Amino acid sequence: MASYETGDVVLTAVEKCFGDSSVVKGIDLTIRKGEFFSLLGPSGCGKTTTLRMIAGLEEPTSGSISIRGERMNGVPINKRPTNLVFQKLALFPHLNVWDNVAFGLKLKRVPEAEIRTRVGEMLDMVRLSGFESRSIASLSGGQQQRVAIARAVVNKPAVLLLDEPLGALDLKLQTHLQEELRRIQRELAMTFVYVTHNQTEAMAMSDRIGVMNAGQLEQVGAAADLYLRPQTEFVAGFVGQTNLIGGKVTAIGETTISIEAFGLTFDAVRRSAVETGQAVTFSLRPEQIRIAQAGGAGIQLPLVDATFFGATATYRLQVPGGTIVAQTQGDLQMLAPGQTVSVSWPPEAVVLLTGGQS
Amino acid sequence: MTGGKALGTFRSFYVPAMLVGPATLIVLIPFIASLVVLGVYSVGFYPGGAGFDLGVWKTFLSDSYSWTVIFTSIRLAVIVTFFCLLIGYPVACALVRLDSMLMSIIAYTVIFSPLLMSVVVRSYGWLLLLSDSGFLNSLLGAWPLNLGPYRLIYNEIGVIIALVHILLPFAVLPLITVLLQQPQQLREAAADLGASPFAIFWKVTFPLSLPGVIVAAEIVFALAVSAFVTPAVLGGGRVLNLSRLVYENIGNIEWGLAAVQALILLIAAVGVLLILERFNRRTFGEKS
Ligand SMILES: Nc1ncnc2c1ncn2[C@@H]1O[C@H](COP(=O)(O)OP(=O)(O)OP(=O)(O)O)[C@@H](O)[C@H]1O
Ligand SMILES: [Mg+2]
Repeated sequence: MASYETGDVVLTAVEKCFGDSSVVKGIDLTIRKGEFFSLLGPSGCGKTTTLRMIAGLEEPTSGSISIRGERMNGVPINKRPTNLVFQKLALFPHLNVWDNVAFGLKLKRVPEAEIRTRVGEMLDMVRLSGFESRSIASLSGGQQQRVAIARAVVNKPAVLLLDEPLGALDLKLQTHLQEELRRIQRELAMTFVYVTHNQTEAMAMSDRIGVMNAGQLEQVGAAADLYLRPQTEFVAGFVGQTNLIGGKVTAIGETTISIEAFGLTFDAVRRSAVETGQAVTFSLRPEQIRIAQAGGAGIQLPLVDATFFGATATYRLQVPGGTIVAQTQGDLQMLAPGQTVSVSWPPEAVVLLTGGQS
Repeated sequence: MTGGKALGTFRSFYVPAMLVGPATLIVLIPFIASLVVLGVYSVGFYPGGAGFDLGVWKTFLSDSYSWTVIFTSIRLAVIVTFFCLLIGYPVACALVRLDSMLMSIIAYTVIFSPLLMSVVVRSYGWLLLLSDSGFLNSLLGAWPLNLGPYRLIYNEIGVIIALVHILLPFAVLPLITVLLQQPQQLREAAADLGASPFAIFWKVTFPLSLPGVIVAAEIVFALAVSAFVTPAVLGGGRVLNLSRLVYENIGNIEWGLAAVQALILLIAAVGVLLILERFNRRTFGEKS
């Protein structure tokens, strides 16, 4: 299928300032050809700005952007092999649904018959057949959003840029369109750059995810990488729930290291260079923590409270100077708050956060 | 329940009525009163008139000279409207895109300051500029062009030039309003879909600004078709439009004739406005 060797969209030290405020602070990123790449990050972190720079709607203050090996700085928007699904939709109010979707194809002077089939198929895909001659103002928010997706996708650009395209949709439509987008992306081997602040969506759809925070790219990797091997506190906390624990390295062994925190000792797999006495932060995912009746293997900790969710249950455990959260499959023995339980975790679950600052 | 309903009625009827009421009264009462007077005068009932008589209408409408004057009025107004839009549109586009505060202030002053000056003053100003020995002709007549002098006053050309200048702000204002309302993102979206700046203009900017173009045309046309001072000064009595005839006939105490001409002027203006409005509705009615 798609070759993952070539960089399709390459950002080199890209920065963007608006006046005095620096919004994107030096991004280096290689998006591969035919890849479904998501930019994930909280509101205001610079996702839209980054996407707009790739589309050509903003010029980077410094750094360079290239697409398919061609430097894009200074190339006007209409000459770039990209199409953008705008976060604010930006549909043409004076055109009906059909003419909105056909806009790009008409400009490219695609033959009339081909326009008819492509626009028809596209409206079918976004489940808007029958809405062809409706005016934009008469559509619901979700319908408008689907027109915006169709208007960009129908052009089959080399690189499709999507800015939170599924925000206003209900869960069922969201799932449907996620599948459809994924299908189109695979079939046409398009490169997708998909912006979202929804980590579940990003993990479900993407080949790789870039996690952004405050104008910086914190970590790039496949969903599992980010989840199992986060490098920064921000990534660990943003991609799923976690316990972030600060401690000190007390011993370095052949394959493991020991970290002391809360007066407890946490063993971790040795992955990066650390020194004895170094202050470190690590992540311990709640569902990696095993809980058993008191007296079992592991350390004994008092249970602060327990919340039962059906399929899962969440426990807060008392440690000196704080609590840690554990999550288990629901159908465990009924543990009551106040009780002492045995707690353990495998060394792989303790992930040292070595990258970044925060 | 009933309280809410009463409040609803109050909100939906009395509040708007009180808001627009004073303005409506000020505009409507003199308008209707003068219409009634005109109507009554035009059929023979005026001081010194002979009582009911449709003769004036008949004489005026069967006289080919009257029709020449009617068409002159309309032609002048159409030409002036056309040039105001043609010149005003790029001006409005430029004003909307200015992002330097200083430049905006200068540009707005240049374009709108004429509104602060009397029409009489401006018309005489143009008379000086356009006369045979005026500024423009001396410029054209000087080396290396050595052209002219061209006759630019006491004919339609002078009237048109001066009216376009005087009415330009009335075209620019509604155009600015409608262009400012256009979200920048729409042009971005068009560009993203492959539109050149030229295509963006013709496929997005211009069609979306049409309601403003129509409003501008309506205002300029209504003012131009009924203009009196400028055609009088720059036409020097050789450019006869309806307002001019009305004025002359009032001077001659021909009340009946003046009333007929004034009514025809009104009908011409309202007719054109109705046509434009209809076009506006048909193009944008169901969408906005
Ligand atoms: N044209 C602009 N002028 C000034 N500041 C801007 C401009 N565009 C964006 N910003 C600022 O840049 C920061 C990042 O904005 P951006 O739209 O890229 O965020 P985002 O990650 O897309 O957020 P969201 O998820 O809320 O859409 C914000 O603080 C925003 O206020
Ligand atoms: Mg955004």
